[in-house]
Amino acid sequence: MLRFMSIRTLTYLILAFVASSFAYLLAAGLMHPEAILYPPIAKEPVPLETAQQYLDARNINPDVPLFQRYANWLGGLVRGDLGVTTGTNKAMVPVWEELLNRVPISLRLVLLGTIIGTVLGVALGMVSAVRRRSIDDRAFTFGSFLILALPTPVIILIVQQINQGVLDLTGWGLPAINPINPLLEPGSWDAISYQIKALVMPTIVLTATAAASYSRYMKVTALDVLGSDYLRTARAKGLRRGQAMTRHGLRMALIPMGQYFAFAVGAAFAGSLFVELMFNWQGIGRFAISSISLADVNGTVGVVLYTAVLTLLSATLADFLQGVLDPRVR
Amino acid sequence: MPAPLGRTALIRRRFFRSSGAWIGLTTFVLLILVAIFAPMIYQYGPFERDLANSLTGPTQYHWFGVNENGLDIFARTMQGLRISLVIGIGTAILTSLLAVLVGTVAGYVSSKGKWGAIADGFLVNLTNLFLVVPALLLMMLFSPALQQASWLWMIPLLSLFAWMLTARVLRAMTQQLVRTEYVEAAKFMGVNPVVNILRHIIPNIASWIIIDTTLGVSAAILGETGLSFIGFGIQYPQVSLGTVLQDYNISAPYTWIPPAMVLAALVISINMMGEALRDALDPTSDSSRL
Amino acid sequence: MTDTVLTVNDLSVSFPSETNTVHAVQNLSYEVRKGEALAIVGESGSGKSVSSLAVMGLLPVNASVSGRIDLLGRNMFELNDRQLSTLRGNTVSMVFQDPLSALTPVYEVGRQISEVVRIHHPEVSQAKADARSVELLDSVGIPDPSRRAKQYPHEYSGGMRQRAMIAMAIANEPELIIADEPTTALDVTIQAQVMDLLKSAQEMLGAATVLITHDMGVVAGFADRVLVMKESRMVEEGDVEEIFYRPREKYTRDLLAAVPRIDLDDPSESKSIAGSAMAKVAEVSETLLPREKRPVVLEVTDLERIFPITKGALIRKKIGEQRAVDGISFDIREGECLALVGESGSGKTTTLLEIMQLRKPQKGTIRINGKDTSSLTRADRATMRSDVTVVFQDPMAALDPRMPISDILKEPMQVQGYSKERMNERVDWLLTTVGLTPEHASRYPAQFSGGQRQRVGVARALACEPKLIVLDEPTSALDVTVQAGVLKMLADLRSRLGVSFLFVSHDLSVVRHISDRIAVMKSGKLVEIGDTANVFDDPRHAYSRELLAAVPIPDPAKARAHRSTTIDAEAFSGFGESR
Repeated sequence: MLRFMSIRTLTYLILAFVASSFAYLLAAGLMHPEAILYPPIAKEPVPLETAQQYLDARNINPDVPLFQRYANWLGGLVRGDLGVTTGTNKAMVPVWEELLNRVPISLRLVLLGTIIGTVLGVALGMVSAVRRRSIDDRAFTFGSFLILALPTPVIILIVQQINQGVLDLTGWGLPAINPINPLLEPGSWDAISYQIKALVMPTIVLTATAAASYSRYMKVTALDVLGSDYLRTARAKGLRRGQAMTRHGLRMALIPMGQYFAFAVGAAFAGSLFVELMFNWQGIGRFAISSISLADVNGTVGVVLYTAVLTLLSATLADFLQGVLDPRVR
Repeated sequence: MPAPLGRTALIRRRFFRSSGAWIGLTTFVLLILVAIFAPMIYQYGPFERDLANSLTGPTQYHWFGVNENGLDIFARTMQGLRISLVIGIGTAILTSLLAVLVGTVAGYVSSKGKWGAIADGFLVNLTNLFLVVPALLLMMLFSPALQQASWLWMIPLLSLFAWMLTARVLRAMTQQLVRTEYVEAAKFMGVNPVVNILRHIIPNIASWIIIDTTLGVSAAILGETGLSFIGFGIQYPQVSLGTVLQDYNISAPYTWIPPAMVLAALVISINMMGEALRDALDPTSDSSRL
Repeated sequence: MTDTVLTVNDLSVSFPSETNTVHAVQNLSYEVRKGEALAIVGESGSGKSVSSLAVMGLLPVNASVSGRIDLLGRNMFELNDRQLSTLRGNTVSMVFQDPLSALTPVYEVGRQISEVVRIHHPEVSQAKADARSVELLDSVGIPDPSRRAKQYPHEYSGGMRQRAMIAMAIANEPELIIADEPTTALDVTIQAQVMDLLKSAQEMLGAATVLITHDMGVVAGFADRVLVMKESRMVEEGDVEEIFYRPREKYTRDLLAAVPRIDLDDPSESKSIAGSAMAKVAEVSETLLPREKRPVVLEVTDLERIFPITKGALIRKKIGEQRAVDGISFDIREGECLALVGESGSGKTTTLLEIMQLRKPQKGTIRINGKDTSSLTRADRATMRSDVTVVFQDPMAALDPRMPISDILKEPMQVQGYSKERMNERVDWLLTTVGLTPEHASRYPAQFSGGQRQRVGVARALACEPKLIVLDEPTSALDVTVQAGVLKMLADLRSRLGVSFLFVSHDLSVVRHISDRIAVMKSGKLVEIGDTANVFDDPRHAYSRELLAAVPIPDPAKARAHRSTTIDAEAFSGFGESR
């Protein structure tokens, strides 16, 4: 088991490294941060030497060969330094610091959404499969069908619009935007309750999308399990339908689900990007959007590294779950 | 024994027996007709500004209303529908081609000795790499540069990050088929591998390719919408359903509900056809021993 | 009638299908008394398995059932699922066909057995139930049961899994045991052991037993009474002697005649269809030149194929090797049939694949018509593909379901560059040769029965006038009555066309009358090779003798004499007292 896990982890580390290197070369090759830092429309030309110094300090000098810049970046990576942000802001904030500030904001969204969504999806999919063609099954299937047919922004708009409607009608509603209220005293009960209330709508959105796709996968695997010989054996032993399914079927159905878990986190990241944008949360997603639009190479690669690590962790977790559930892969 | 129905006839019968297939097909055809003809007869263009009427609801002149920037929502939605349809269908076809290529080749060579295993390993790792890379971020990275050239670049861009799961499934199916005796028999007759794949493997996984392509259309439309919504998709002078949605205003629901409804109708109709097709091609998905 | 355990009265089961209703069982009635063994025999699709699932109350939800089933005086159709559940596994238990898929892969075998005890006796503690499962495993002959109980199904061999299934079935000392094709998925030697075990268990418990099978040979030694089913209806029912010695119905006689007899030398005496056909062939071959003077078609010397056993997904490390084929040599002369016999895992399929590759083997040489396969050029190899062809085991899988028969038959000829006219001509000739008609050419494989498909498979192998046909278990996926017809056709082809056969089989009784020589294979080695008659009359190797002894004999008196008690009743008896 330990050996199996360590080999998998090693594979994923290599994959994460390859992915972020690839991202660096792409970003550095495609983007022109110097055009943002010194827009061509600047009134006074900047002295060449100053400009070079500026660019070198940020490791974005287009006159330095791409692979030299990549080597610089790699050197930084080894020391735990991801470079500094560029863009229109000349403050040179370390990317590392920017990520650290933003990760907690994004992560709570991603984690809550994935965990609640997964559990809910597995439960609903299971019910759908066992009670096939019942009213519940039809309702769940139709619901997930509808959610999967809408892009995340539209789901967010629907949730926000409903909240707005309730607010107009009753005068009470959830906070429409921002994760925290800067006017309230930090640490006070009001501030905390505001934060919790602000989390409700984004979590609903991410949970709904995760649960919708999860319940579909779960229904398919659970139906496979329902047709299996070992479940018939379990019934022949004297277990009732529900007992046979929970004692023998559930664990077997969860084995393939473990693999989907790794992708679910990636999907949750994409979902959180829309959530952050439309609820005005200053998380990684917004940072990603602004980094790419401002041609911030270091910032972009930092985000890629973050998502790669996130995927890596969830994939490792998925493998671990699979190892626990299935003695055959141990 | 009565002569059994041919496979195609049987599938057609099963497909058209489902009401979902009819609803989906009718809606889809209707949307295509609207997308083609509505912009021809409608008096406003997608970029015509009527600032005097900005942020007004539906009227007889502006069927869906006008947004903050004075742009007509109906005109934009119809133009967006055209673009989304082209991108959706194009991407789905290209994605399936990529997936079939990678999936069948990897599945076929995986059983062919040491070199085959190495080639298969390479393709599998390539697939996994594409699965772990943050596709959305990379698309955001590529898109602006490509959009300057042509909006059609959206098709290969979306395809590049969409083929992996299908390729995985097709590889597994090919591996199963390669072990079947009729493919083995063809090998022992000396049939060339490429011919073998084209003649024996692809026809036998065709049903899955068709289902996947159908559902791929809606997936591509959703992907394009998301990308355009955050400003990294279709750019001026083109407009897609995502860019129309971008101009939403929570205090004026008509700014986003019409394009959202059209989008939902489009995706749902395609998915309904896909599901009906799946049921028609794979009737065993119904059976359960409990 | 107090000792009647099960009464089935006018049972009919049907399933809705795409176009019409499928009647799986129609008007079936039978009863089983305490301590009695009833065998329900029929070919695939005869409804025998469905009838037993009906008794268990485990039919799929879409089945519609009529009639009446009484188990110990209780009408099963009036009980709800909760009441039925208290009977299943306790009063009536079942042994399924495929022990690999019938055990839950993720639980220890011991736990799966103790579960059945605990379901019906919740008062028994988990520790006691675990101890009981070890006892049960011991009694069914699993070595080192306390360690084995902690293992998972994938760590068991096929035979051991089926033993564990039997342990599970007898755990609560049921009144009725239903065994649905319990040995079909197993090797012959294992098959005999499992049948003996099942019989001993039944006798020890005094339980009524229903054995469902397609194999008359298995029935003879096991059943007291036999019920023959065909196409969802009962054909005939009677005592085992009656059915075997004095069958009334023609279908029963066909079934019996189709079972190859290993206990009789003279093919004609066996009354089997295949047997009498072979007798004719034997005469023809006498007129040929003596073996030594005929040219060698295939010569294999010191062939070796070793698979490395590796571990690890990323960094593969060799941890051992499997000697699948371990230095074997044999030759086949023109017009000769060599049977390669062995159980699963003996390396016979690997040998066949090595020959069919037409490449340089890992070690040793393969010569076809005197040409070494390692020296072939690409073009030589392509031409040689027409000389050596293959017929596969599974007629369902051997033909591409999307191609009409004519295209399937033309495929090898296209590779060899035949002209269009010649191909069309040959398609007609081939179809008639294998006993089909030219009108069949435009049909698709799905429109044929298993036996007809296998004929198409043979026709394809004949397409380019081969010198040698490799037959990989060509009849083992077919029903017995169909099997005989295909064997007859093969024998006929051999005598008419003078083509050589390499006949791979796990079943000695099948090859007895078709082969000239037999090679017995075990663990990658040839343990014995010789003339068919010699191997049967005087097997020199212990393994050959074991194989011969394991073949079921379709004769109740002989089969009973053969039987041995294998259950360890002492290990079993502990439970009654501890309860």
